[in-house]
Amino acid sequence: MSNAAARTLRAHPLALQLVILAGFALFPLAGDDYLVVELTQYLVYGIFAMGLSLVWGYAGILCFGHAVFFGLGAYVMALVSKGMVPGIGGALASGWAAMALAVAVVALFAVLLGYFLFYGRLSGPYLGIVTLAISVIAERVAIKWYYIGGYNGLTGIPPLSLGGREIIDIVPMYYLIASFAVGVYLLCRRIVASPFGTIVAAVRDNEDRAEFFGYNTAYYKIVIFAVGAAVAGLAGALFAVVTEFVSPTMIGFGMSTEVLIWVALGGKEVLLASFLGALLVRAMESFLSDVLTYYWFLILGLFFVACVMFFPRGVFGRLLAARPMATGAKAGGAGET
Amino acid sequence: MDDRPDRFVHETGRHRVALLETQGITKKFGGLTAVDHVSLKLADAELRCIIGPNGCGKTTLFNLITGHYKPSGGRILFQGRDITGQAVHRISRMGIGRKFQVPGVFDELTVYENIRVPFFSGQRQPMLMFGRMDAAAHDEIMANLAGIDLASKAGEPASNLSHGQRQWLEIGMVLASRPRLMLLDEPTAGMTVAETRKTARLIRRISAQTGISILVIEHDIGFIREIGGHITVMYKGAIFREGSYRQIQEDPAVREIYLGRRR
Ligand SMILES: Nc1ncnc2c1ncn2[C@@H]1O[C@H](COP(=O)(O)OP(=O)(O)OP(=O)(O)O)[C@@H](O)[C@H]1O
Ligand SMILES: [Mg+2]
Repeated sequence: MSNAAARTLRAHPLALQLVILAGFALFPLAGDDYLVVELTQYLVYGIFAMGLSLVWGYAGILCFGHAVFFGLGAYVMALVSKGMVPGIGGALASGWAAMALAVAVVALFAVLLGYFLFYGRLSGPYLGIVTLAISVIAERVAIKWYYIGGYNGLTGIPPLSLGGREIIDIVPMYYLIASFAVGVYLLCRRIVASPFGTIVAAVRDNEDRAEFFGYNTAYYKIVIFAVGAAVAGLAGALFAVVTEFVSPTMIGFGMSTEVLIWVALGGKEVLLASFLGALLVRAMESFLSDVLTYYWFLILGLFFVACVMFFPRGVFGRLLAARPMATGAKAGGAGET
Repeated sequence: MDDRPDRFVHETGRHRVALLETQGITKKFGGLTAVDHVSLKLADAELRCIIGPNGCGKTTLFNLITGHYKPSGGRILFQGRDITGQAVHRISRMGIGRKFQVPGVFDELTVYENIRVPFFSGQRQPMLMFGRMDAAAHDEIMANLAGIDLASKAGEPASNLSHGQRQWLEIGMVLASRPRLMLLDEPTAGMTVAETRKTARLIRRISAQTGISILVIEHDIGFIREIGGHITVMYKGAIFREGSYRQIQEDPAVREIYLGRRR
């Protein structure tokens, strides 16, 4: 993209977002089903990345175990919709109910975890180590627990249905997932632009000062942590539907670091940048790992180091950053992208 | 919020309802007595300066009032209620706002958002995640920014501001939290002469327009003269003198410990 065009788009964030939206809307018309299948998965990863962006980029909580929420959402989705949870059957085991349950379970788990982390005043490296440990434990448990499929995971997750029709074909599936991505994006954006979002940013910037203004900072951290976790849980549930498969790797340390890389590369302070970061890395991986085989990880590593050093705000962070609020902006739009 | 007692008239002083009162408040750090039996009364709507040489316990006194330190002895009353040793956020919620000696603005947030944070601290609007600001709240924030001369910087990150502007922003932040008492710790530190004068006028205007009681720690003599009002001189942790600018300035003992040395 030329510099001038980039500048024009940056000055008009709404136009830029619409261009991106149009790109996704038109993509399946290109007619390559293989690419649509790939992109559907990437969109799910993108949703996952937005969850981490809330937690890490907006709230400053460096979480090394975000895949725990992703994986937990996927497992709950799989177990419930396959009718494997005793006592939950019938309408409650339908795809949508299972998905709602998955999100609720993940959010609840994150509130409990957050309660101990943030009222325990854990931060920085300690928080990182604890979340890392949890993701390692979660992966071990998933591998050892025979009932939930053990090492092999679970397959044959039933498809979702909409208006009496099962969504099996890839193009409807793509649009369903894309709608979820748009919905999650709008929701998250609304949250970060709300007064609540401003307090969360203030807590990230200077917790003591925010506390002195009378805010219970732990409460704000728990809530944003739970929201970010719930988004990851939703992504996990969608992933289970899209791939019809869940496995212990989805819940573990490897996945947790991957999402950190996507978000750091894309730009953690900007939701859309984090989302695109996931897509970029996954797309590059899919093209380059064929050509480069295991050198791919070396390239990714170098790319990551370069990014951290030269683009601390990520590849897309600057382009997509919220424009400074115009002084005369209407009240509701204040601070929005 | 509008059940304030009548304005306290200093000279006649029959109706002595103090907004803030410290009774023999004391703080010891090991062998050092940083604040030594300080008894201070601040009336509603009063504007008062505290001066004193470096290390005489001024900031420590503020830390005791705001609950950052627990006193070794004595009591603190705010609106007649004993607040001694209460938690920081509870005291803050009762209406004691503070500007710290080191500016505590949120650097990563815009100037506008910096005001927004304390603005919502009074829970005037439910803190819903999807809450939106109404136009009235927006106008109030912009009026606050206009008052501290930063309206044109609303959209910039606070890290872009000059030193003086950061101090003003913090005064605006304290004001936005709608305190009944403002504690300002060296609001003009590091300012130019012109900025210092502007700050003094700003504080005087806030005092006159809002009726908020204000306690200011300052070193700058020009500032103290500009502020007028009652002055408390601290020395070695204790109250050394109280009086008007003229009385203090003419007092040879004060000149000796403080004014004289700084000239
Ligand atoms: N937390 C602490 N622990 C030990 N000593 C302290 C502590 N806080 C302050 N002091 C000491 O108490 C004394 C008073 O300090 P304080 O900061 O209140 O002075 P000040 O009047 O605000 O000075 P300045 O004009 O330099 O800001 C100093 O000797 C200081 O070293
Ligand atoms: Mg001091």
